[in-house]
Amino acid sequence: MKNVWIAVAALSLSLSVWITAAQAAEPNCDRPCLEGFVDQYLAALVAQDSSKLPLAKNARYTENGQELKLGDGMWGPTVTLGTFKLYFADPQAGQVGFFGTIEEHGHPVILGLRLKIDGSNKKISEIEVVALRKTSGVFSEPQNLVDKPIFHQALTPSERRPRAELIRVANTYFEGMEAGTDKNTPFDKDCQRIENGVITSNDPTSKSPITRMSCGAQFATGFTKVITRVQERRFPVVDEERGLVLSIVRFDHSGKNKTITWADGTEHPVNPPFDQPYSFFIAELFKTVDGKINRIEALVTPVPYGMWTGWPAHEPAKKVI
Amino acid sequence: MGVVNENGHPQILALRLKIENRKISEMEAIVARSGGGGFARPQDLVDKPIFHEPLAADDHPSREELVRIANSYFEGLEKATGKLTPFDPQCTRIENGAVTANNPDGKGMAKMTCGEQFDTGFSPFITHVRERRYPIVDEERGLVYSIIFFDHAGTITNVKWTDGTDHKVSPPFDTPYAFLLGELFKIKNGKIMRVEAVLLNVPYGMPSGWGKKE
Repeated sequence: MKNVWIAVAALSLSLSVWITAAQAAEPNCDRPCLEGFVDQYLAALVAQDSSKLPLAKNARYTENGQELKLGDGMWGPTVTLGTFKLYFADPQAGQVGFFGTIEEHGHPVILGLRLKIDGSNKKISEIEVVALRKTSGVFSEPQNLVDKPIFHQALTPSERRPRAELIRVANTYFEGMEAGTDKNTPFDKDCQRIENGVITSNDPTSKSPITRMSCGAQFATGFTKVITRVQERRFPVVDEERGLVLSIVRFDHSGKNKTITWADGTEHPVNPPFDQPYSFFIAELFKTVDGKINRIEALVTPVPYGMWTGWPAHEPAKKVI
Repeated sequence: MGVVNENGHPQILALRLKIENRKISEMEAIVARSGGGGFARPQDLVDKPIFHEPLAADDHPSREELVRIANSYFEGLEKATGKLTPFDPQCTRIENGAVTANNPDGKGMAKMTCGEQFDTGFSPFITHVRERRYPIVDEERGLVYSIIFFDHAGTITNVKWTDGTDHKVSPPFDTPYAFLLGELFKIKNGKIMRVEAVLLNVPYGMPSGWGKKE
């Protein structure tokens, strides 16, 4: 599965690119304030008591793209927190993200969390969870997730880029995937990607040739054409100080192609399940240094093909033909 | 319900069509694929004549009664009892090609008939049978096609059966987990004789896309 997936991780044509506009809200909830909301949320989750959370009137909660009541979903089992904790904050947009390990009834889970804080009254208006459970049907190694200092290191002034540029760079990753090329995407030569705790590019210890390659070298092969579309792209959290962008997307594999042609002209089979209608719901965090993608930390879970990922609240109507 | 090949991979398909003015207005497919973490045994699916045999002339329940009986199956699951559901003593259930009730070659629960299973009270970990629909009622053959979700909220880690024994709830059912099911009931003489189901795991709480989300 791992190699297959690596051989897959690419995308093609985006129907809709949603760039969550950073509303010109006053950054009246700074990084410590935003991270405090995450801690408050996690404490409430462990206590199985959401009653004290400062929720906005129309707050929404989604878990793996599904709107649930607080108290349902991950709020059902007994939850304990693990040791891996990665925060990222966007004071301008009032958004904060968190990747971490938890346990549900003793079962390891990787948690991706996004909160939106209403700037005016400091209440939580959006809660979005990606829960990567061991029973999801894809590989996950939560025990391998360890702190990587690069994700919480501030960039130097010369390494920084404006938020629009950070989003543009993150989006070029998906554009490159769909097109099956490295030409669209500014990769650092040492770019490494970790998915569900598993290193899937730039792993010198791997037996898989493609997993040993850096992100850019992988893209250069053209293997990513297996992913036919990267849909419902959102970029809700932009941590300009640290060069981080959280993107939430869906990879669709239409199942139309049994083989793809790599850039070197060689034919490669599309292996199951990617030769059948198949989608991944993905939270993907990019670290961009000096305008180049340096690290990617992703949470990936299979979902029904074409599933609406839950934001905004109402899915646009689809036409059958 | 049938078996199809997608790029050479056998898959189980449950298809519902609505025809209005001899034109197709609704298409609802449930596809149980063996890849990507699902489970399906399409190779084990064979024709069962009972599903296309008409009921006897003196056995003609109303469509409302057929739906009521099908619904009692889900009521029995939610309430963990065999008392609500009229089962034939030989009721057999097949899920994605696997015989999961009244299987003489099975072990444990699979050996029991549907009714015997329900009588154990095993099912409280199925916390909600959600968005129940009964879009097709074949009165001539005594068939009801239901489409539902089984939600497992992950709140229950232990079930006490009706015989007083304790049973640990195994993963993934002790964490939030859901199935989408297309479930076909054969009802004869007012009792459920056969259940043929196509199911796949889906994100917990997912709506069906048809009707109002609960």
